[in-house]
Formats: sequence, structure tokens, C-alpha cells
Amino acid sequence: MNFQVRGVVKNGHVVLAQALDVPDGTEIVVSTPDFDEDAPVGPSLIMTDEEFQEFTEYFTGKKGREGFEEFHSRVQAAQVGRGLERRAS
Amino acid sequence: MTPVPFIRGLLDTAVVIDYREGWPDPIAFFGTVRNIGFPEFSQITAMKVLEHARDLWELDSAKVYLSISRVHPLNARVADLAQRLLELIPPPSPLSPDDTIVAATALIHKLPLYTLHPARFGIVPGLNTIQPY
Repeated sequence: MNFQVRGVVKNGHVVLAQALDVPDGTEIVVSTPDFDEDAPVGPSLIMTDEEFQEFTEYFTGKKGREGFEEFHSRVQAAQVGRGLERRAS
Repeated sequence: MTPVPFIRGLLDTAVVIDYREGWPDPIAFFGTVRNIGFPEFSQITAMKVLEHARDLWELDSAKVYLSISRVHPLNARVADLAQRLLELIPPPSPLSPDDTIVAATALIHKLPLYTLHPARFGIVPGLNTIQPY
């Protein structure tokens, strides 16, 4: 089974131009027309140079593990306004 | 060591694992990479980084590392090209299936490959390789 149909979104649901001739319960995937399956994933987290240096120390074992959870939480909390969308393009 | 002027490229698995091991040259190289963008590598490399973890803490920190990187998916197009490369290379192939997945990813995205083994990858037609350090 291999098919492609078009539809529109209405109130958050996909409405297809035609009914699908497939059994109930069949799982399908919905994507936008310009979906690029080759597109890379990430990054989802931006670190400053200082944070990256600190991360490297943790990641390579030069710094003890005990502070890593706090470090990660701190970086996550600081993400707003870091311009991920600009650097990721 | 003379620093290599960095241009955007795909990092081979061994380069990423070298950084994980904390060697000075790879750490300096990754600093250079960050000056122009993000570390970029294949999903097969991401899986190798996860596999490399020896305990749960290392697995968690590896996941954080992947979240600050750009991972190129191992999709059907990449797998098909990787297999074609293996069909093309006269035996015995110097490249493993993982290597050809990395090479195929670089070719599809038209990126040079930063690798510690440029001679080994030199057998791949059209692939531009760079020794990072």
C-alpha cells in the first residue's frame, strides 16, 4: 500500500479531499507539502561559548558529575531569546 | 599544530568520539566549529555516541551533546547511496557500512567530510575530505 492524497486543516483536524480506501486503524503520516526528509534535526539547545566550555569539561570528565544536572537546567532556562531560529538556518 | 581554516562540513564518527574522549586537538577543533555554526554529523554517528556511553550519566550527557548538534537523518536515500557505494568499491572494501552511511550523508548534503582517515575515504567518488587536526 503506497499512496499520497491532499487535504486541508480545519479546526486542527486534517480533512482529506477523498476518502481513503484503507482499513480502519491503519496508521498514516501527515506532513506539509514542503516537508524535506533530508533536513537535519537540531540543534534544540543553544549554549554560549562559556557554557560550551563548561559542558566540555563535564562531557570529557574533567569536571565532576555532581553539578551537571544544575548546569543543564540553567542552560535550558536561559534559552529564551538566544536566536535558535537564526543560527539553525 | 597548524589550525585548519574551518568550512562547514560533516564530522566523521571518530572525530566526534575523539572530542568525547577529551583530547586537546579535537576540543580545540570543536571550538573552531562553533565559531561558524554547529557540529554536524550523521545519525549513525549520533547512535555511536550514544552507544559509547558507559553508564546512565554518560548517556544523559551524550543526549545533551546531541541537542546542541545538527544531526543529518539516516533515511532511505542515504541508505540506498551507502549500499551503492559498497557495490561500487572493489573488495576488500576499506570502508564499513557505517563509513559508507557517513560518506553518503556528506555526498547528499554536498558537505566535505572531516575525517581522521582521508585516504580511506578517498575511494568514494566525489567526496571531499579534510583532516581536521
